[in-house]
Amino acid sequence: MRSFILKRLLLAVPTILGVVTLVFFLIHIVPGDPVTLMLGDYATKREIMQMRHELHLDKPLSEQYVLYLDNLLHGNMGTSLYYKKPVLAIVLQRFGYTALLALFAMVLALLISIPLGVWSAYRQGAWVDKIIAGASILGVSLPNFWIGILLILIFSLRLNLLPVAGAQSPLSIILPGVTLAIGMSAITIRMVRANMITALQHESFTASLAKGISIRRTLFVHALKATLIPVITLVGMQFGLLLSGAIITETVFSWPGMGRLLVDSVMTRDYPLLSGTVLVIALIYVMVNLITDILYFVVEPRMRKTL
Amino acid sequence: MRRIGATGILLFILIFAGIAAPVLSPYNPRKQILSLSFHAPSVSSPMGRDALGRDIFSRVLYGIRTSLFIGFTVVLISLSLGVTVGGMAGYIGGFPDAVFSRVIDILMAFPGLLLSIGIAGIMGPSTLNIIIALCAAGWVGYARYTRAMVISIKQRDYIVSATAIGKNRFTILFTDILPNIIEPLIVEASFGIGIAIVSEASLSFLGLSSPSTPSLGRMLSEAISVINVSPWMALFPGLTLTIIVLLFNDIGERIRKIYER
Repeated sequence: MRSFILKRLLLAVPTILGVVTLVFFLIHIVPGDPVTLMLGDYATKREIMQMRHELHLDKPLSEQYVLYLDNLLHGNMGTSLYYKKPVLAIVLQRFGYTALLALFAMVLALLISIPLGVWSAYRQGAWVDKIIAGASILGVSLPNFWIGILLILIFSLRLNLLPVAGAQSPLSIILPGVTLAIGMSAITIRMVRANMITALQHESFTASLAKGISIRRTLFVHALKATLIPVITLVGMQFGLLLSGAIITETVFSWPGMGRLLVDSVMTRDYPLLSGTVLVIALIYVMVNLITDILYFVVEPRMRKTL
Repeated sequence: MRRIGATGILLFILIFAGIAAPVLSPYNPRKQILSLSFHAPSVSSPMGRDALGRDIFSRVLYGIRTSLFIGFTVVLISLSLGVTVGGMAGYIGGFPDAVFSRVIDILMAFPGLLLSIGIAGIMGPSTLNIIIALCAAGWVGYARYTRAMVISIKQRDYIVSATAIGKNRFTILFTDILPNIIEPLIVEASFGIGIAIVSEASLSFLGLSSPSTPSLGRMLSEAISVINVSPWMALFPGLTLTIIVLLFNDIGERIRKIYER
């Protein structure tokens, strides 16, 4: 067990280094001069020279790379051009909002998809199953920014029940959370259904019924077992979807998280902030994947050989 | 053919609408008539008009065209690149495969659209940049899938014997191994087109597409601030986008079922 965790941690090192390198090169794919683009057409030559010096763009590429790594190791991701503050501080300030939104959406998605998935499996082939299957394919196909716009139109503007945007009130999280949860539930329902069907065919299910344990209780116990793995997969695999969905959803609802920050940095051509935000989001994703792999290892002994 | 059914017919109509957009659209999608701004749907403009008085129905038709063009292009490039690179890595093995697997791990470390947003955000808004940004992230999935399939197939007896009689390695890869995985790849690709279309719409929703190209995502982002005044500006482009993606997902599902039989 300890050796597995150690091995997994060591494997993450080259990945993290690769991610850092790729993000470092992002700013170098700008067609033309990034400094002129950032400062705009009215910048003086002196300002351009100064900025180039501040970003170390006047040094050879190899030297820039070493400087970049050195700075990162000291927690320095540069300074935002727009906010005039350290990038890391700004990103971390927004992290809480994204984490809160992601957690809320995830819990909501599980509350929707576990019962529906179990029900759908239990009534396999019946109309309930078909309706749920139809709803889930629709849910996967609905672009989340469109769901978001429709929810704003219905619940904020027409019914006046929930705030349109921002994060001022505790109710503000509901609409962006629901938006994110819809797409996630659609996928999770299928996963739960498939696992539950296998669980229902297992002898232990029939045995439990034969022992006189009520159908409701048997379903509940089996459902818990069948959904444990999807829950972990959801946290891991779909966390990526969630993060990337959060970028769009936060923009629709002006939710002050990292996704919104990323989009704002694109709009203001704040390249240090842009690459810093991309890096932080990717690193969070790597960490979550690492934790999921380890959790898998703990709960599912059968997976140990394949990892 | 019956199993493709209604979805196939609808998809055909959709692709036709996209190709024939210049002929089918009643107005020039870029023509601004400010006196008609925010005009509600009517007989002459069935989907209404936007803030600049442009005809939404014409813009939706051109938007379908943009979506399909980018969706197909991205999948075609990603698929070719992914199958070639992944196939060679899996077949050759050893050091090249080890390097390849690292690269895959690194690219997979960027969730969903993040890498594309980073690339398109830095390169600036244009159709070409969107295609580059989506391919840069999109080929990885096909490459990983192909690699895994090739590794499992190359140990089969007929491949071993083809190698033993001295058949050229690339001939084996392209004529003996890859045709075996073409069916699952077609399924992946049809889901991939749906994903690429949503991704394109997402990038243009974030303002990363060229402002002069009518795009469903950009139409939605223009609609959001005036949604209370003219809901049709969001309703029709969003509905169209959903239908397109739904059709590609459904066709993927159907093709998979056909192959599974």
